[in-house]
Amino acid sequence: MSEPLLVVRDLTREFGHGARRVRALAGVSLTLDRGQTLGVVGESGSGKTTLGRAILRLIEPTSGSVRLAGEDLLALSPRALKRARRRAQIVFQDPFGSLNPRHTVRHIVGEPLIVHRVGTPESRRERVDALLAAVGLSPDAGDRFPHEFSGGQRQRIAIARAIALDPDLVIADEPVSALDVSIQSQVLNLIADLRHDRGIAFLFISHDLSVVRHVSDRVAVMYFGRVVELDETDRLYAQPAHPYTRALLSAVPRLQGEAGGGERITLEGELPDPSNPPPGCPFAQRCASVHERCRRDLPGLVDRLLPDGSQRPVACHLFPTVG
Amino acid sequence: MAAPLLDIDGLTVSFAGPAGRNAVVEDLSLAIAPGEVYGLVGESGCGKSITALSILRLIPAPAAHIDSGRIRFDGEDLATVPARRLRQIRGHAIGMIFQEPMTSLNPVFTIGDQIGESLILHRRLRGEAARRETTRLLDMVGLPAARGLLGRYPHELSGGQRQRVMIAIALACSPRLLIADEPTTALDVTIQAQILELIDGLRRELGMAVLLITHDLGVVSERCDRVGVMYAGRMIEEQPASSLFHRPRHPYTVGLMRSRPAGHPRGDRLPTIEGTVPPPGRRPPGCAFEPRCGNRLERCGAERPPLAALDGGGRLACFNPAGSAEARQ
Repeated sequence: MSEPLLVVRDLTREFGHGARRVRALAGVSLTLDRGQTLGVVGESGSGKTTLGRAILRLIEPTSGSVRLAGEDLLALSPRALKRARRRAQIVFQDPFGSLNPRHTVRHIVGEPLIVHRVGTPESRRERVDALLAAVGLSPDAGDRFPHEFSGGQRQRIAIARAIALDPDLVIADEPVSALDVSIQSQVLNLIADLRHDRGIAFLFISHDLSVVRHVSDRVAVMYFGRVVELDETDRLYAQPAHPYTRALLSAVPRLQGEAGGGERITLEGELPDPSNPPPGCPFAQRCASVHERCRRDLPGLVDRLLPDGSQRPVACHLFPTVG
Repeated sequence: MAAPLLDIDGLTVSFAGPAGRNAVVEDLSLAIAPGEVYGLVGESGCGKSITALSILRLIPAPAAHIDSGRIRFDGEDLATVPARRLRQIRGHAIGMIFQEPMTSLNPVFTIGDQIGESLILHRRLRGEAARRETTRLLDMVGLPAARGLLGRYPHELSGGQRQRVMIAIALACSPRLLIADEPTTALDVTIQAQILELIDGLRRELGMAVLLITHDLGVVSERCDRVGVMYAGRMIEEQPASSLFHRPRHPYTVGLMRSRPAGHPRGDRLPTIEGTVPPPGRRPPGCAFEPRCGNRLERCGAERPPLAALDGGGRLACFNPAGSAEARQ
């Protein structure tokens, strides 16, 4: 089998110095195949946003490796990195803060083409028109300014800009979290179309578990800078193993009669102090199934045996390691 | 319903715009019984927060103005009581918490000072008595004061802790009504569950009523006794939560529920509500949802459907609701 599009190994990012040093990302490894969507879920402080930015070196990783289409992004010179970024784009949560208010939509969407010297002014103009149509905006939208658009429309503009260079990978960091539910479904449908029509792979970062379930082929659950569980979406949601994943799924508010995440598990407490992490499992102090060992040894994200006999990478001592 | 604790009748609130005043909340009526949890839902700009702020006249005057309507709370009309009387009610008989606890707490005062302020103003407690009561309140909202929280500043707390402090302040005077405007929207889902559990526990313990304003239908479904749905400044449907989520009648309510990814197989195309909400000042003469409605009839564009009583309880403003004879055709 050929190498996956994206291979992240032991990616770590520390902030601060000395006693105040904080590991926002503590050795994350994952892979993403072409055209697939990997969902990354986690709460504030889980490191999911740092992960998205560190992959593209918008935040420089402290250590680890990122291979995109066979190329080691962390070894690249600034010029080579710029070239590599054509393959990977990012869409941010806030459609108000991520678009320059002084530029027309045409300029914003076409800017990546200018920066990477793609085509002529005429061909770029045609390309921008095609991109606006692809994200469901009218052609006259190009001559207007970001403030003239609603939140959902602005997110369409940000997506048009992200796909301008035909990237292989789009990192979408909470792309629908600022949108109302009726608008959210429009943007989720658009993302599904882009996957289908253009074969773009998505790293879809969100705190919203039902949105992630809907768009993702596989899902990684993050807690305190680490991936604690990773599996195919349907398997993970049907049978969450890590006590944190179980609590997280059970906490999602549901409509009466809607399929549930099991009995509500209300977690006590909050994340540990990142400048003074506990020696063992970072979830131990909130975990209902905690054992003596959990406070001592940090469980690794390795294949473990689940009660039904299947295997899954999960970082929890409750499940025996395989092999 | 027993005599309501809060009874809003015909509330209309307008804002000054470039081309004159625009009504943002129009002819809104709702009543909340003692001890009841009432959910007010709708999307951005529907007027739910302005409704909440109007109850305590916290809307930004003179730009915003209550044009008409009564807001009866325990026999008094809050829309017209003198400002002095209103200050006694705020934070005393009615507590309020907002979405962003960081901006509602004063950054230069300690947590202890800010909770104590309410006790000093409204309950005339001083010194050791105020400190004891502050400690009791923090314990009640699950923040053991032993952690030294009293001397800390808001920025030293997490979002969940700050919202607990806001709740402690709101509860300092045992209010009979708690207005909670998107109290958990800025919080993580596991922390949200903690906070909603806390509010619910305190409601049962203290018997207070809650007006819960949220865009999250799941939260409403799990936590509320009755639900009002707002669209473009008006109440369009109101039902007990148990019946609303099993049998929504207004096409907008139906659309909102269907748009949620949770109810669909993974990867399926999600139903959408095409178009956008008309802004204040550009609302159509008939039903404001008519341009986006799949159930619309000819009369819907010209004539506004009144909010009329439903068989079996609740109210509905629609000429052709989901499940009616016309809609099935």
